[in-house]
Amino acid sequence: MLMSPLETEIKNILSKYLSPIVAETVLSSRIAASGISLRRLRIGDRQRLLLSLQKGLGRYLKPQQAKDCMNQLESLLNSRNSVSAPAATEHQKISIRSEGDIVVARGAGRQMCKTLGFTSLLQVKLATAISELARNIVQYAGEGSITLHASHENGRPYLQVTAEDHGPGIPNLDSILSGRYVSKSGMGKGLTGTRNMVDEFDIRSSPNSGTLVVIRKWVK
Amino acid sequence: MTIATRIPIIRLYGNLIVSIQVSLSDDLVVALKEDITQNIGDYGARGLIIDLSGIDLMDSYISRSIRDIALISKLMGAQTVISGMDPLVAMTLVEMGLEMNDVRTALTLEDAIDLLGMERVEADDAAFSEFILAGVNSRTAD
Repeated sequence: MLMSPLETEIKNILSKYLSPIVAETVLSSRIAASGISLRRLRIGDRQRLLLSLQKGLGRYLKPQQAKDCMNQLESLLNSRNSVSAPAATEHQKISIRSEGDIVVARGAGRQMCKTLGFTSLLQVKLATAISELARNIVQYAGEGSITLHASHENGRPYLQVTAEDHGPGIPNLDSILSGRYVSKSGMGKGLTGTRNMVDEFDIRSSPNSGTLVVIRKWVK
Repeated sequence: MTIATRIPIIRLYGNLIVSIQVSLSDDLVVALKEDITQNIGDYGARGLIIDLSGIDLMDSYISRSIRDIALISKLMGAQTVISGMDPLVAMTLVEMGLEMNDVRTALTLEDAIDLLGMERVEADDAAFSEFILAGVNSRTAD
C-alpha cells in the first residue's frame, strides 16, 4: 500500500537511527499495534502513536539515541497536529442482515473503542453490548442496522451506538427491562445486561415502527 | 479472522477436550453442540473440558450455548469443566448477569485436567516404560 505523507516523514526520521528495513518494520508494526490510521488522526492518536513508537524503539536503540529520535518524532507530530486538526467525529453504519454481520459490527465497535481510548475492559463490554443489540436485530427483526458514532462533548470522547430495525417491535418490553422476563434464547439478559454496562440507554419499540435502541458510553 | 466450520474435539484418556480459539459464530456453536453430544455418546466420555482461552468476547447467546453444552453433557454422564476464561470476559459476563453457576470452572487447562482426575489408562503402559528403562540401563552399564 502507498505510504501516507506523514508515514514517509516518520520513516525518514527513523531511518536516521535504524537501517531502512528495521525502520519500516518498526513503523508498520507499531502503527498496526496502536490501531491508528495516519491518514486520519483522531483524538489522542498523536500521543498513542508516540508511546507505541517509543516501545518499539526501546528494543533497537540505546536510551540516548531513542530519546533523540523521540524528540524529533514529537516535534514532527506536533507540527502536523496544528496544521490539520484531527478528525473529531467518526461515523459508521453497518447493515445487519445475517449472523456474520454481528461479528462485523462488534469488531468495528471494538476498533472504534480502542481508537477513542477506552480501557480494554470497556472495549470488551461495549463490543459485547453491540453484539447483543445486533443479535436482537437478526433474531427478532431479520434485518436492520447498527450505527457507531464516535465524538466528543466538552473534550470528553464518547461512543454512541444506535441499533435500528423495522421489525415487529418488542411486545413485553416493560417486563424484559424490569428483569422479570428472560427468553429461552437469553434475550432478556442481553438487553438488561447491555443497559447495565453503558452510561446512557434509550429504547423505543412499537409494533408499527420497529425498535430503536441508543446507547452511549463516555471515556472516563 | 479465522474462518472455521468445525471446532476439533480431542479424545484423551476417556475424556474430551475442546479448545475454542476462533471467533464463535452461531453456526459454529450449533455444530459444536452436535459434535460434542455425538462424541460423548460414541466414545463414552466421562469428562469434557471446554477451554475458552482463545475467546475474547462472549455475549448472552454464546455463554448460554456453552452452559447448555455443559448441562447436556451432564445429563449424558460426562462432567464438564470450563477453563481459560479471559478476565475481561469474566467481568463482562458477571456485569451482564450471565454467570454460569451450575458449571465447574478452572483457571487453566492443567487445572481442568486435575479437576477431572485424568490419568493415563493404557494397560501396557507400565510394561512399556520398564522396557525402555531396561534399554537405558543396559546402555549405561556398557
